[in-house]
Amino acid sequence: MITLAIDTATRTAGIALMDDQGLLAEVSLQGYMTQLRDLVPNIAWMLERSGISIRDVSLVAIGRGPGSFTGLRIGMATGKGLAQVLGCPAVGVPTLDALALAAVPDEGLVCSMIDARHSRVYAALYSAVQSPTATEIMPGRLYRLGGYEAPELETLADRLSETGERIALAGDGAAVYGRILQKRLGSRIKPVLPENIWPRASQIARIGAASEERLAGRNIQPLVPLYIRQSSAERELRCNG
Amino acid sequence: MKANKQQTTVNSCRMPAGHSLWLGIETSCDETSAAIVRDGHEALSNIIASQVDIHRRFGGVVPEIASRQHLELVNGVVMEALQAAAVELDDLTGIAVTNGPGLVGALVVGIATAKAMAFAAGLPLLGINHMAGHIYANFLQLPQPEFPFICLVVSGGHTDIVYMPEHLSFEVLGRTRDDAAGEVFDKTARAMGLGYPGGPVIDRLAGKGDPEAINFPKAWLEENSYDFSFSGLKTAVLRYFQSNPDVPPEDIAASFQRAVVDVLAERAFRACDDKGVERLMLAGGVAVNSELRQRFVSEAEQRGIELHIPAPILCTDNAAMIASVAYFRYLRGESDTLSLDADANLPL
Ligand SMILES: [Zn+2]
Repeated sequence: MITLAIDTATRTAGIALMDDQGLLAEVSLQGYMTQLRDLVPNIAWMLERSGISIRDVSLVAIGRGPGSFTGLRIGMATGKGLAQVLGCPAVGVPTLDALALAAVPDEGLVCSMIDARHSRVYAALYSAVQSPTATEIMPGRLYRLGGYEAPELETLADRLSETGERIALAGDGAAVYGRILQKRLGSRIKPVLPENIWPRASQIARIGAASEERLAGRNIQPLVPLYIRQSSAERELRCNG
Repeated sequence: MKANKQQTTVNSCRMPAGHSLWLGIETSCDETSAAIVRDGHEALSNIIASQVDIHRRFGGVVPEIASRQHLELVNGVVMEALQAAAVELDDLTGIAVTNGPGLVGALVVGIATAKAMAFAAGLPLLGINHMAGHIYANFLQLPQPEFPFICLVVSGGHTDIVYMPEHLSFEVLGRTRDDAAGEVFDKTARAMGLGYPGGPVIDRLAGKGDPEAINFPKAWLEENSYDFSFSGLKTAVLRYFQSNPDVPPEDIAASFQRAVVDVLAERAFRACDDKGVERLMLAGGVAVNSELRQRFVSEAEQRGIELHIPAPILCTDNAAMIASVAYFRYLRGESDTLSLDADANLPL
């Protein structure tokens, strides 16, 4: 099985190619202003350099975010368009999961955080150890505690404090707000490592391929972005009744 | 949120070899559309998933919601267009997509989809100007227009007088300096509490009113100008509505609509005279307005001008018109690279 992975949820445009033996190629570019223009040409370049035809791709794994709404849609529409022509399955993988997979410690927790602006982050909490209430992301490797949320920083700090565990951080939200969390929670917070700030399409590929294999297309994440937040027009409409 | 789907021409026989078949994709505003067009003029399918019911409760198109809807609908709409035309991806000559003007967040969904599909299928890609598409809706029906002609493009975003001496050559003689015609209908309807979208609401109401009841300003600009300005009219209607609560809204709507149609007709027919052109066409969403159509039909007849008006379904945003432009551009050897980008303000 050859998996093509795409993630454009953050400022990073990431693509990766993986087969059953492991990673074949990965490209990661910063600056999302050029995502629409450059995504497909970069996929074409990566495939060509890897000596693989797009027709050989048998799974498309796409980062579902949360993150930049427009960036997410560019990645999603591209991945879905490819899968539609190739006649192959496409799976959505939360970008927060991918960040956690790269950074999860054997002991303690990892909190993935993507900057949502205005003192908010998109965040989720993970463990490498299974527990009855956790959701399995990668068997034996990654389990999600709780849901995907967009808390204010204060609320998140309270929640992290309640766990009583050591917590590693991942994601660009951690680069922005990690120091504030460290001030609040002290040495229990492990600052984000530079290589764990940006999501990696190779992790999207790993999770996507694993879930496709395990579930054979059943109950895998739907192919819509993880928006978490409603559009501002909908929020206003709700406020005004 | 279920979008409402419409469909025009369906032809179920497989295409013989030698024909040019373009898949068009259009997501510039609030209609998700895909179509298969043969040889630039025959829509084998034209699937349009309208979001108007979703945006109505917000009183206008909400870009973020439109973009979310496009992403959910586009692949299914493309599949339907292929199936309704009984065409396989392998039969296609190329894939065309609107790359502007429009809402940037909405455009990117169609463009990303089209680029991915063109790349995976190894097909040529063409980014098409939405306004050119509206004009080319006239080539999707018989008789085919001949050149040169004048086209009045009236929609929610544009009000342009365009001179076309030949295929793909657009000379914009005039445009609106403030609101587009469709925008004025929407804003006036909203101010009068009539609902959304304003065009059909006012059209319906105006049918029951007296168009000569009130003499609204026609906003003529400098003599000889082909430009439009509707903001004065909009303000006058609003002021009149507020200070004359006893005047039937039907009369206000009819008089307002008459003022808009008067200006549009004057500019369009004067352009024909000045350019010595005997063919005129309408295009764009506002071209479904019943008074506009009637006026142009009767005045064209009086003046001996050949008039082309697309069927109402081809006036709304649709992908067949996009595929039609692509056919003519491809004939000239044009195609775009996979670096195609969105341009919200793409000029004609
Ligand atoms: Zn339009």
